Amino acid sequence: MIPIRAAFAAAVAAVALAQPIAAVADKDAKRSIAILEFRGGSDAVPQIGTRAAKLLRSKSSLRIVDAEEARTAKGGRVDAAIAKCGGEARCVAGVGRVLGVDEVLLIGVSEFGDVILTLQRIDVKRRRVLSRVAEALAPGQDPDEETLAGYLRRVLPKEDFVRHGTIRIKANVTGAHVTIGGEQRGKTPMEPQRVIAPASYDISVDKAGYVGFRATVDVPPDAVVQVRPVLTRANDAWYKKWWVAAIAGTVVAGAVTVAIVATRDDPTDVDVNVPPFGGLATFR
Amino acid sequence: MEITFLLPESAELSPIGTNVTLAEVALVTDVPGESPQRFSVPISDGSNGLNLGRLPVADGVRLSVELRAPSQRLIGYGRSPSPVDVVADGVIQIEIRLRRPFAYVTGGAEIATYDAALEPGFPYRGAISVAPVPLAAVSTFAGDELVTVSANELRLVSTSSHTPMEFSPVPLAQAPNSVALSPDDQFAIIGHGGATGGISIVRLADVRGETAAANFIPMGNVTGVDASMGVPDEDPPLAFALIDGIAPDVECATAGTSSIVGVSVANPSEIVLTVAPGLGVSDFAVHPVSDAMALAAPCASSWNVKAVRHHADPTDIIDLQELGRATRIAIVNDRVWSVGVQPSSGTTGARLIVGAVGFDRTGVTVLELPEAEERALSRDFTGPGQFAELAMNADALFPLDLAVLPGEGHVAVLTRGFYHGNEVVGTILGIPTLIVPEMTITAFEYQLIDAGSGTPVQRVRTMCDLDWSHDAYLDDFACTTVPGQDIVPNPEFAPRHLSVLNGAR
Repeated sequence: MIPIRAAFAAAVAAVALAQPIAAVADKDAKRSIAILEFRGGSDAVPQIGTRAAKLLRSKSSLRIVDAEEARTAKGGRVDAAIAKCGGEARCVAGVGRVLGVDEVLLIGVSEFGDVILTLQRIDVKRRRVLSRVAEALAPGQDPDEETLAGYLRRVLPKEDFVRHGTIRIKANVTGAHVTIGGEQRGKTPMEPQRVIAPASYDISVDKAGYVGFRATVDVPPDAVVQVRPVLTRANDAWYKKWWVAAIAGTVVAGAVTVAIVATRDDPTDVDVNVPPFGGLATFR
Repeated sequence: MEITFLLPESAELSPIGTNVTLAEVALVTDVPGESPQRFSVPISDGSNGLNLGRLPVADGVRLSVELRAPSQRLIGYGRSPSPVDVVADGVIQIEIRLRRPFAYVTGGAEIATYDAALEPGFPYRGAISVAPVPLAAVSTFAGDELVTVSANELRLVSTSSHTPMEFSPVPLAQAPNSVALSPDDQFAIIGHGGATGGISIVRLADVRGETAAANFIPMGNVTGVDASMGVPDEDPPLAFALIDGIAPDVECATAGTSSIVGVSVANPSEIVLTVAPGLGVSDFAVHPVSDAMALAAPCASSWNVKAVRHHADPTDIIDLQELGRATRIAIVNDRVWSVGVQPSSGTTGARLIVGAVGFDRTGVTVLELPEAEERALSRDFTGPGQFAELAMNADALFPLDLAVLPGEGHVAVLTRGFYHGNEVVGTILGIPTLIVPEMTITAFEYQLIDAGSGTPVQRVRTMCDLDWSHDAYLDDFACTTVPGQDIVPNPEFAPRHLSVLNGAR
């Protein structure tokens, strides 16, 4: 059994590599893909289509239509049509067209001694297979989530696994320069900014004559994070002004508590952290 | 760097307590030679702590922390009591006391407290009981204490609990009319009016050590005080006194001239500077760490907000801003805030004007508030749906005090207004009859004003004195409120002095 599975997998891998991965995740709109099952008389790896759809919903930027949704939309005709197609790409693309999706990921399950699991990515418009992955599984073997995710990553473009969120910046002044994650994004007012998610972004909003705004926001996938920078007028430091006599310097030795408790190597700046507050220890 | 936030235990006083919702924490960093930077973090709960970005390694960094509500309203503020040297090879631990931006108003039987953190609809009025009744109060730069002065003593009040601290009161030689603190929170300067007036200086550390005594220095009729750091800065702080300041409601034709004198707290009997602008000055403020001074000269023929360098050239009085009859003044960083009045005309009533300008005359801001208004309600009608109400615009309006809230998002003012209503003649049963008598209202008010829009967001009338001629058909009137205005429960009081926690005046 094991040698057969290895040989088969190697052959299919070669096929997959030979297929050009043409589609790239659209910059702004979500690509839609139907996840459908085709079973050649095998009941192995049950719910594999549903599991794949769930995985893709959590890990990709695709809009997923699973078999249940397809049945809800088009009734039992979908299962019958897929069975009738017998895995033929042009026919499956027709089903995808009826479902209104861009692509169909057809997951086939059949048995030749081993259980043969195939994943075909079919372009609905061009009615052809874009990529294909096949794996031989021992009878009774069910791929775990990580393994299944590995199959999906092989059959789908890597860009599909980049998810996005949106940062909407609404400042109280116009003409302020906005930087997100170190990248200049333009001036306020500005359109919502699409960013890779989940991720944390440093945001800065600056305008001459105003106190710069700095913030760090966590952007979850598919979320819109609204940031409302309030820029207040910055007045040049008093010690630069004409009226100041030559007395610039520290105000006084005050009551601030300063204690060196640890060391750092960074010569230019230091982290600012605030311990939990609101507890008994911070009452005063 | 680790910043520990210290908060009042009372939920009504804490910036993360009752009736406020935390949405954002911002660290404002002022590094010498650079523009201030703000780093803000959305946060609703401090139980996990937070990261406030990174600070450049530099000496003399000033830090302040702002807590804001979802509406961006300031609900808490605190600052490092002195500049911090940020070093690369160590973690600096500092503590910042965060407080709600309370306004404290004296003049009544208690210190009236108005919580500027609260959105409309929440109970923002409170009181602090201190005996004897304080006449003036000012908060420390660190924000932890309120220094109050009554007719004969100085006391400390905790901003964490709004209760007097346990230290013994310090006796004062005369009744005070004003109080200010040196920027290092080391000295309280108390002003005393009248021909035998002067200033008293009290070292606050001695108050806490139970060894304090007020050092009285006769100067004559002191009407206002302030303090700055020494010149040069290693010298002891300077105490300033306004001598013969003119009242906000003075008739300019009879107004005299004023002067400001400065003394070192270390040797207060020796006057080290005198500013004599040759005008009547109603208020002044000094920059905490430079020799800049701002003056309100309401009777000046023009440019009644003025500036002077009290050490470099105290004779060179510089015009800063034209603001109708500016009577009160405050300095925030390098900006001068003032409040004046646009007088009534034939068709419009008097209104407040709030101005701000940099010492270099840039960044001019002028806010015109709505016309001041009070109303009188006839009590002669008792039937349902029957009433007669008279709305009166102000004939005259006088700003009594001004304070700028931390962050400069709001200003607080105290005012006294005079309102006059003409008689109304009508016909009853065909007979010409005086229906509504001529009447006057004298009203005192506290207002919290949005500095962006000039809109009052809190209004408390602390006193309304209504008088009318008793010769009309309607002969029983009482003050009533205008929309958005609250009134104090009895007894009413004429406010004397205003201070805002962590604010400027």
